[in-house]
Amino acid sequence: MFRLAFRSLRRRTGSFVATFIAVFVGAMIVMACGGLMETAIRANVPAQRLAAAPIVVAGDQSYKLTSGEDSTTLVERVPVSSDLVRTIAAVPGVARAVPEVSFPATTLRGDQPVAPDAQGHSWTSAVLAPYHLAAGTAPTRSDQVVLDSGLAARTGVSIGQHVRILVRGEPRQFTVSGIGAAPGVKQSAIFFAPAEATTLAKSIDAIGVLLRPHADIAAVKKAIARPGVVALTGPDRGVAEYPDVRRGASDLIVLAAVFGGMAAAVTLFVIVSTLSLAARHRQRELALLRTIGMTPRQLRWMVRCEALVVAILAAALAIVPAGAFGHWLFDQLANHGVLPTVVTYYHGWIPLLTGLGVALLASFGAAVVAGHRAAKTRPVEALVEAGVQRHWVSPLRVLLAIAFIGGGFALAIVTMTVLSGPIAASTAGPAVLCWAIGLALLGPGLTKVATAVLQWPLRFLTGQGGRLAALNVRARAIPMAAAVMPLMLASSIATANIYMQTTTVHEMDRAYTHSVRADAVLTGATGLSDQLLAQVRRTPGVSAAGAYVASTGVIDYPHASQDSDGWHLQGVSGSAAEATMSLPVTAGRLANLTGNTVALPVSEAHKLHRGIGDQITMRLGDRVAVNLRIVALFTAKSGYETILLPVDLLAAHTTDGMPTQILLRASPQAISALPVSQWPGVRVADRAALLADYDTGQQTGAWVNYLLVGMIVAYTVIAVANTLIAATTRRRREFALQRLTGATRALVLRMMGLESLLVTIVGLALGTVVTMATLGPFCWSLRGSLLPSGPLWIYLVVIGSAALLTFAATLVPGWVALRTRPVEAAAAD
Amino acid sequence: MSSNQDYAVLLDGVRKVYGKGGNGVVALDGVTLGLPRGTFTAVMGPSGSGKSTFLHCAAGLDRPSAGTVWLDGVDLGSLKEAALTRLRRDRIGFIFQAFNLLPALTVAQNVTLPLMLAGRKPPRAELAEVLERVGLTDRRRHLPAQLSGGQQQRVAIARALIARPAVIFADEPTGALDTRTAREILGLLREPVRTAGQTVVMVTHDPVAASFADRVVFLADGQLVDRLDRPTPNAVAERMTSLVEAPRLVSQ
Repeated sequence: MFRLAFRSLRRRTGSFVATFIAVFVGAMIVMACGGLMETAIRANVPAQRLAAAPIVVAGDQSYKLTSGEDSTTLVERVPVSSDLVRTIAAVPGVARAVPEVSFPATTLRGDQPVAPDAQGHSWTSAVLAPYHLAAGTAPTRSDQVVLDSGLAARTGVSIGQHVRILVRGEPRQFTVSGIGAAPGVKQSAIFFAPAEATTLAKSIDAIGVLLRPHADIAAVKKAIARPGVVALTGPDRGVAEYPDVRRGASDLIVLAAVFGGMAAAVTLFVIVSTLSLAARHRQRELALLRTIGMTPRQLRWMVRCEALVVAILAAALAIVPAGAFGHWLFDQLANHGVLPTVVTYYHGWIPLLTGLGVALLASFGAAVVAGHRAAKTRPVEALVEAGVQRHWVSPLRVLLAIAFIGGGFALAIVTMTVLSGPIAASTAGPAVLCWAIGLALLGPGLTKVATAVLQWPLRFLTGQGGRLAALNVRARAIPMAAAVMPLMLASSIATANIYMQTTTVHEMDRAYTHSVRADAVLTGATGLSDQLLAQVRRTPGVSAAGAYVASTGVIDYPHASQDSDGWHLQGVSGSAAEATMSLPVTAGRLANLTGNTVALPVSEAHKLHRGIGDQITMRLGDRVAVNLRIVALFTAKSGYETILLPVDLLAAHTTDGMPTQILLRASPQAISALPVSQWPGVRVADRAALLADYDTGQQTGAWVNYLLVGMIVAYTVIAVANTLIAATTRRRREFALQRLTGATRALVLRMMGLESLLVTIVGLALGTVVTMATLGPFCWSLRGSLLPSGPLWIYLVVIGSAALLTFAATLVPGWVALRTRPVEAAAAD
Repeated sequence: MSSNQDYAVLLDGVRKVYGKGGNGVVALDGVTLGLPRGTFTAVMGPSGSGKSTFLHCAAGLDRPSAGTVWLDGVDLGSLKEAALTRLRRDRIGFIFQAFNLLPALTVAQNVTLPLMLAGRKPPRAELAEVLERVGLTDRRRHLPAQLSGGQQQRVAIARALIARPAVIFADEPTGALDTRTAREILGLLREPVRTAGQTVVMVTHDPVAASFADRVVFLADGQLVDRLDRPTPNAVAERMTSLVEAPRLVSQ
């Protein structure tokens, strides 16, 4: 049977182009998503500053929740204890254990920070890169520094000169004692004298382990191992330099899985539609085969084999561009801050094999469906003029449709009753597919009904042409459904996902704006000094000012179920909290947030059975557990709850160890009179900018969503174009006959245009139904309204492009088909 | 049942109704007919007389609503779809008016397709012989699109002959051909009847084509109305004319 399939394919490549493209693109997308996933799982960051150390010991960023099996990735750098340096140095085979410290620092040129991402280090750890002195001497006095050559050039300083450096928010004067160089290190580095660096850093980030010659890495690694720390080797070492890689990576894993799954489902859908179309176009040939002795079973296998040959070829070829495509996707995501650009894209054979397997499985599934349908071909069909297919309802089809639509309903109920806030979005992806596939299974019937309804206005507006077009579409409801369904899928995936994003962002913005009452905010390039805060507070017209920092943590005790992403924590200053935050406090006072205290949302306190004055234990972002006394309870919008802690407490447990913002309430005059000019790198922003700053984080998420949704929509669009072009080309003979019976070319084109219009309207109407069925429950649980928030133009653009695509894919091949003289076209076929 | 074995095709009270209930259309209305082995029969009748339905039912392409069809001694009604297909593959050859070759396969591949489907390896000698008989030996590697209408029809005949079927069914085999080519094709159809004792059943509306047969049977309104042995074109045309005009006489 493979031989027959092969022969048949060799001569009939044209009709399989659609299937080939569908499998090729589908496989490529799944492979690329797999590549993203593998990249994220591996999180390979080439070690730069620590490249010379074969083993790097760092704090364990992964923390298992006390309330279940889930683990969370801690967002702040988990420090290692200084005792560990001595312990490791004593391990046999270890030559040296070098502590690595870092803290925010940047040189100033004039009053401008030169490299905001620069870090301060101790010269002791320079050996780990390895940095060597290109010129000058190592820093020994507390006012000496070594700059890397790039930074020195950009700052415009050389050996022996003074340089102003912003360290932890305070500008200080230093002398350049030497210039350091390390090939391959991209990040800017400022090296301080060891004693000075230790004072500034407060904790040890990691320990670089240098080995004696011929030492056994595995043995040393094993000897070092202990709870709370990880010994990294090879490509994993870079993670110690960039702890936020882990968080970004775990986000990317979820993202890649969601979109890979969605791409796989869409692939199945698209391949089924192209294969069925191909089978329908050669129904007569299949009937002939049945007549001359092909059993239904043989026919089924022939159709399957043909599909598989095409699929194997397409999926195998998809491997070629999959790597480049995955890399491109990764670059886009990294450039938009989903995860640090230092991560290297890597995919092995697993994503390729997965993509290949998914594509083949989808193709085989589609081939089974198409073959099942083809096997029902009756031999008599070879002898009579190929008629219009009338039967499409089968028990299996109805059963599947009920199952999918039932699934859609179930997801809607779950979304509305169980989920709240941003998590509600997690059911929306599967919901779109459930509704779309459910409706697609009922496609021919829906197309028929929708056309029947639409034919009246169409007739009214366009007269006879419209009537003819409506009759045509109704009579050809099954082939038409093949065009309507991908259109529905594309428009619903696009609108549902985009509006979900705009609604989420809108609601988050609103929740944030509602919770912050500050009139202005100060941010600093390397943090904010306490002195600055004191000065701001003394400024006349400033009624309240407080430092602010955000982080993430989990509740260790009492045990209660919690999201593995952890709680959003806000560090506020107790004295200013009531003035700068606008939380509806129901018990206690935010002003009491000093020392080891916490303010909880009422709902959470209720869940934990704790009230004012009770204790809870929290695990903060740097893995440190703290016992906190509840001093205030407040109500918060479901899904957007945060926990408030004193800023001094929370800031101490962040990577940089200091507040990132100062929130203040003040008159406009007072804001313009703030003493920021003497503080380089400090920026004053008004309330609008406060939101804009917050928004950038949200926009990243939105952008990622747009990119991946765009990718899947583009894929669906290919399917729509495929179907329409194939269907129109197929009708050459019919058009020719219409012209022979007296229709002008313009009239035939006009009728085609009206048919496209019908297809577009029906497809988009069904797409809108799917979108509403998905967005309704989501918006209800998010904002208590069935309608999403977001600009209307997005919907209009989706509708407009869908219509444009349909018209182009029908009229262009139609116009080409009409160029042949009608007599020739009618004779052909 | 010995009488069944004498006939290549035997229809007994075959009825075929399309559609259901009150608005069903009766295409065959109780046809009983036996076609002896080694004969060439032409089936004629005006449009809508049930010619095509007769052919479909007799060849097992369609199942009758009532009555029985024996083909080569086998009751078709007792066979399931797959068995019916195998029977068609082994004992029946088909020749149609058009659309009868697979465009993707060469002449040789088209001819041996039934054997291939049966899982047999086509013997070279048989292929050579059958191509020789239809005069296409030098065209075996051509694709159907590269052949003329008459040549395509000869490929179809070769395909019908290669499995040495008991019965060959032909549906308007000369309908799309010019007169000279039509004669060649009819001569080719005649041959296996004479030389190998095979049976040929041909549906046609062309009196000249029908005159190549041993016997012509006439259908009208789904019923067998007439028969003519050793037909001549004129005699056939005369009967046809009377058949077409008969209903008009009645209505007057």
